[in-house]
Amino acid sequence: MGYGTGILFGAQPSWDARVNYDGTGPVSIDQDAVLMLRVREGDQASFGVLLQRHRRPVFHFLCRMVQNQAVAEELAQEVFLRVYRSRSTYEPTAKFTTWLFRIATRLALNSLRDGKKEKLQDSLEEETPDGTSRQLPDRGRTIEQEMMYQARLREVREAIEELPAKQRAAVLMHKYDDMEYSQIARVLRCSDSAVKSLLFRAYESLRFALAHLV
Amino acid sequence: MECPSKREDSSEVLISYVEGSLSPSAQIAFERHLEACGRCRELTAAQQELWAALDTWAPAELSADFNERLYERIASEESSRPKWAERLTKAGLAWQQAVPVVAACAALMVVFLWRGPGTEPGVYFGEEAVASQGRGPQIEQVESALEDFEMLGQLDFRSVAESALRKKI
Amino acid sequence: MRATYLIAALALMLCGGPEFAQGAQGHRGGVVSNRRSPEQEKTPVDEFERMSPEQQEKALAKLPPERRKKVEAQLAKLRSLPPEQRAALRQTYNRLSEFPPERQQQLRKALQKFGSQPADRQEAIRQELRQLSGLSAEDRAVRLKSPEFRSTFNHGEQQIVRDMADLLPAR
Repeated sequence: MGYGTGILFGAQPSWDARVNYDGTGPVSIDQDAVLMLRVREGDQASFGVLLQRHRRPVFHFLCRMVQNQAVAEELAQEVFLRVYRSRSTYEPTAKFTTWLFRIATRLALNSLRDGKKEKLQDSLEEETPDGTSRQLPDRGRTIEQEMMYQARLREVREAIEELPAKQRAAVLMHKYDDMEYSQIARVLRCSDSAVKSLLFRAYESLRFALAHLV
Repeated sequence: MECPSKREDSSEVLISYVEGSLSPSAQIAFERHLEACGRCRELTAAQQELWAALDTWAPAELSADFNERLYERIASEESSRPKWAERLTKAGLAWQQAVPVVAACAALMVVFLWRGPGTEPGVYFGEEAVASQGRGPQIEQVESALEDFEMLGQLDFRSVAESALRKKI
Repeated sequence: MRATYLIAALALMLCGGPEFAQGAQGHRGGVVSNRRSPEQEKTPVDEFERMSPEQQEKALAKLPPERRKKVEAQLAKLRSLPPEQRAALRQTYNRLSEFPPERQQQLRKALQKFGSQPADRQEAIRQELRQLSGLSAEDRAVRLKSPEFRSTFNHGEQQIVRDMADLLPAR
């Protein structure tokens, strides 16, 4: 699922000073920012819409960042709790998703720094929280192919885990959330060129780490 | 086409090609280049393989009760807010509902009283007039900010900020 | 509620109409005219300074004498700083304020720890931060993991530097 739509809403005093509104073409409205403004006015239903819309991408991002489902859920809850807490002072000075992922990234980086990560035990059959085992989708693979596939997946996850935290965040936002360099830069509070540098180094490291899988 | 692998920004073209975001003409140019450049073919193949590998990574699903637990936390926080904070919020909402005209008049006052940036030299902080209309920060906020300023002052980021400011000019 | 929105929108149009129109017409040039730079973003202290003397007095009168004395001393000290130093402080304060509350508390603790270091170690940390400020985010990360950095600072000091690095202006 990607976030390709919407641009800066309005021209307010900057919450993110590096955001520039280049003014090309008519002003587009960030629908999520509109919803958040309604939340600011007391519209709880709009918060529900935002939650439904963004909880999965945020959770998936956090899952891949911290590589622990339980921690990722806890962090995802915290993201939306903070969004809710900030409702009365919300100002749409950046895309809503930029703000959202900024919070998520900050929480993930703090979590990683605090060492709350626990190695996720990977297996062909995983226990879901309700105790039923998760059946992997049948891709027409033999057992041997399936085991190779799982081993490869493990290597991918380990290679991602080896990346410095900010490189990891940049890759995840770029690859799985379809964010452009400029939005990633705003999330990570760095320049576009710094993001490119982060990403290119990350992909280079990943290519090297996974070269033997080719 | 200049060989991307010889440029520092080679990865950008490569990544854009693999993710399919190159313009049609750039894509054609790059594919033509690939026919002639072994190094770029290697890098492209490696990036495509990486992309495919990353595509296989499907994370877990959210718990079914995620929303429910979140709302419970929100409700718990809301119910533990001090009564005075609740009264302030309610008063604020009542005010907002009861006097929209006052808000519009206040905004009109801002229009007439507004002095744009750069028209007034900075006094202590800031260069713009603030139409606060009698409302200022809570004194506790000011206290807290002053404490922060005092602590931050120890770091002496002045030289750092100066060079950052110079870069922006 | 809708009436409130309509009237507020009307007021906003009157206040910000020119800027929106400029944007809609495709005004180029980067920053729109009413956007504040980080140096200009108001802090609670700025807002306090903009209050009338009567309002300031009224606000200060709410404080017990000891706290009032401290606030007045801090204000006086701030007012005596050169403009560029005030601007730098405001920038750093605004960066601190943009973090989530929990992270702000962590950073404040780190600042307190910094303040309790011996003078020579404080200067060493300041020096390190000045060097880090000239690096990109990526290079900062490399530096903070380097053996040279680890051998220059003990574990506690390393953590202070890492925390304070978050307050550095981005490159």
